[in-house]
Amino acid sequence: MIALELGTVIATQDGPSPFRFSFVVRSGVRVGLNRFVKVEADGDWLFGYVTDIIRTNRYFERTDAVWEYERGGGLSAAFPTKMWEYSVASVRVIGTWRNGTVHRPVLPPSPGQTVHELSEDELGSVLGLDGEGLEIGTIEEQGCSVRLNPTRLLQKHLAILAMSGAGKSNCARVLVEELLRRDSGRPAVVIFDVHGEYSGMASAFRDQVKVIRAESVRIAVSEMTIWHFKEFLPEMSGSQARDLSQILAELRSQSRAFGIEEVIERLRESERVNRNLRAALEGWLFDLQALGVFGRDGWPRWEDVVAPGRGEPPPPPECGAG
Amino acid sequence: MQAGLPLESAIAEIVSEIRTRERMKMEIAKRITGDPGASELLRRVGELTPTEISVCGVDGGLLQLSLSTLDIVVVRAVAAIFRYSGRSLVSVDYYPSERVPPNFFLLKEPLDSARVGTLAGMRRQMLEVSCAAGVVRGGMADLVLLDGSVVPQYVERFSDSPECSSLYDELMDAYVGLYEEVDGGRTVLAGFVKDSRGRRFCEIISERLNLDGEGRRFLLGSRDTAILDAILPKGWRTVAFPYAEESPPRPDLKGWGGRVYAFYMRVSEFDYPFRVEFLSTAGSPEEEADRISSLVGFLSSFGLGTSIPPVLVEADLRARLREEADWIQDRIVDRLGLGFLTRRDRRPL
Repeated sequence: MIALELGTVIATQDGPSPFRFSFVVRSGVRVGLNRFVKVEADGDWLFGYVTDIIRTNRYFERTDAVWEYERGGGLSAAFPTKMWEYSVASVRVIGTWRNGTVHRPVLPPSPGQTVHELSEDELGSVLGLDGEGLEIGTIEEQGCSVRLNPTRLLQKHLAILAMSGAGKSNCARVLVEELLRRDSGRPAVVIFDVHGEYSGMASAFRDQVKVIRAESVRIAVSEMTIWHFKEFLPEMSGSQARDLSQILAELRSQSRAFGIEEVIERLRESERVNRNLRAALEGWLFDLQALGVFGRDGWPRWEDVVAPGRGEPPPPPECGAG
Repeated sequence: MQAGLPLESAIAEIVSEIRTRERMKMEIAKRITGDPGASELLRRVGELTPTEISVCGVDGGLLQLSLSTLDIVVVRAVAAIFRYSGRSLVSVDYYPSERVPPNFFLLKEPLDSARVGTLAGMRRQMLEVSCAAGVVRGGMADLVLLDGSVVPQYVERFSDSPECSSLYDELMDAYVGLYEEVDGGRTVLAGFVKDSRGRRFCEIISERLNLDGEGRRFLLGSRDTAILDAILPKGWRTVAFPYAEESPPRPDLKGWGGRVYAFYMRVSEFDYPFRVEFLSTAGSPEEEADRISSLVGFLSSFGLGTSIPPVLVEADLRARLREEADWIQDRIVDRLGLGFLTRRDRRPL
C-alpha cells in the first residue's frame, strides 16, 4: 500500500536538521499534533512525530491590511483568503529505522522531500508495539491502537510520568484492567489506593478484585525486628535499640504472639533499662500503638491474598489497637 | 532647485515648494468649485450592489535578471475572477490557472538597461492582454479590469532594435485583438489607473471655466489627480472624455484609440481620485461611464483607505514574482557557479 503523502519538507532558519524539520502540509490532508510521519534521508527512513503545527495566510500577515478591510466586512469578505491558507508542521525526529532497529539519525532530509504518514505496521515496529499486548489506548491522529508487551513492560520497573491531570492514574488503571482481562500470563497486582482512584475496579471486576480496607490492616508486632522499629522510631538511640531488641527476644522466646502492649509492659518491668531512656522509649511505643496498625496477628497474609487468579483473604482478626 | 544645496537647505526648499503648491491648489480648487460651469464637469456616482456579477482583474508580474552574457526576463499574467452575489464574494476562479508558471525570455541582443526594461514591460503586457482576451473570449466575466491603461503607452517605435520593433508590432496586434473580442460582446473592458500622470482634465477645466492667467498657468502645470484631490468629493466622478484628445493619434491601433474614454472618480476620502479608462462599445460614452463608475465604486468599497478593487489586488498577489528572483538565480548558480553573475551580484558586501 502506498503511504499517504502529507507534505513537503521546507528549508527554515534552523532546519531541516537530523533532529527536527518542518513541512508544508498538502492541501486537503489533515495533519494534527502527535501525528507520526516518515521522510527519506539519503536512503534511510527518518521517522518522528508532529510537535507543533501552525496555520498561516499571507493576507493576514499585515495588520494594516486587516484593519484596512474591516469596513467592508473584513479581508475574508473581499478576498478568497481561505483558499490560500496553509499549515506548516514541525516534526521531532525519533530516529532512523534500519535492519529492524532504531538508530540515532545522522543526516537531515533534504528540503523538497515528500513527507509520508507512518503506516500502522511501521508504527508498531518503531514503537515496539505488540499486537497481542495490553491495549492502553489509541494514538491520536493515527487511529492506531497501542498494545504493549506485558513481559517487557512489567519484568523490571515501570514509571508513568506526566503532568498533574494528564491521566497517569487512568493509564495505570487501564493497565491493571487489561491484565485482569487476560486469560493467562496474569501477574498478581497489589494497588495501594491512597486517593481512592481505583475503587471502581472492585465492582467492574467483582470476582477478581478484593478490597482490603486500610483500617483493617494489621502488622504483627511479634514478626517485627528492631530494624522495623527503627523505621518507625528514627529518633531511637543505639542503647535504646539494644534494650528494645532484648525485650523483643524475650517475648519471642515465650512462643506466643504479642502486641505493642506487651512490649510496653515488659519494658516497664525491665530493671536493666536506664530510667530516662525507658521513659522516652515508652512514650514512642505509646505513639506507635495509637496509630492502630500494630497487632498480635498480622492481616492480611499476602501469600493468601496476592496470587494470580482468585484470592480470598481471611477475615480480619478481632483486634483493637493491641 | 540649484545644484549643490546643503541637505538642510534642500529639504527646506522642498517643503516650502510643496506648501506653496498646496496653497495654490486649494485656491484654484475654491475658484473652480465656485464656478457655475464646474457642475457640468462632475457627476455623482450611482450606488450599486449587484445581485450577481462576475468581475475579472488582470495583472502581470515581471522579473529581470542580468547575467554577464545575457539578460533574462521572467513574466507571467493572471486573471482573478470574482463572482459576487450582493456584497458577498461567492466564488473565485483564476485564468489561465490558479498557479501560473512564469514565462522565460532570453535577451541576446546587447541592449542598454532602459531598452531591456522596455522589452520586459512589453513582454508582460503581451501576456496580460492575451490573458484578458482569453477571459473575454470564454465569457468568464461581465467586467474585465486591467491594472493600468487599456491603451499601450509607448511613444517611440523602436526602429533601432529589430527585437523591440517586432515585439511592439505584436503587442499592438494583441491590443487590437482584445478590442475586437470585446466589441459587440457582453464584457466591458476597463483599466484602473492608480497614479495617473494625465493632465487632460486640467486642460478641460481651463477651457471650460473662466480662469485668469495665473490660475490657468497653475492648472495647466498640474496633474489631474492633484487638482481633483481638492475638488472631487467622495462618491463623485468627472465626465468621461476621449482618450484620443490627450494623446497623439495611434495609427497602429487601427482606429480603436478613438473609442477609448476616461474619467476620474473618488470612492474614499482617505485616498486620491483614480482614473478609469474604458473601451466604448455601445451607446453614449457618458452612459457607459455611469454604469462602469457604479460598478467600480462597488468594487472599490471594500477597503477603508484604499480604492484599489480587491480583484486587482488578488491578481497582483498571484502574478507577482518578487520571491522567485533569488530562487531562479540560485538555481543558475547551482549549475554554473558564480562566474556568470554580474559584478554587482558577486560583490562580497
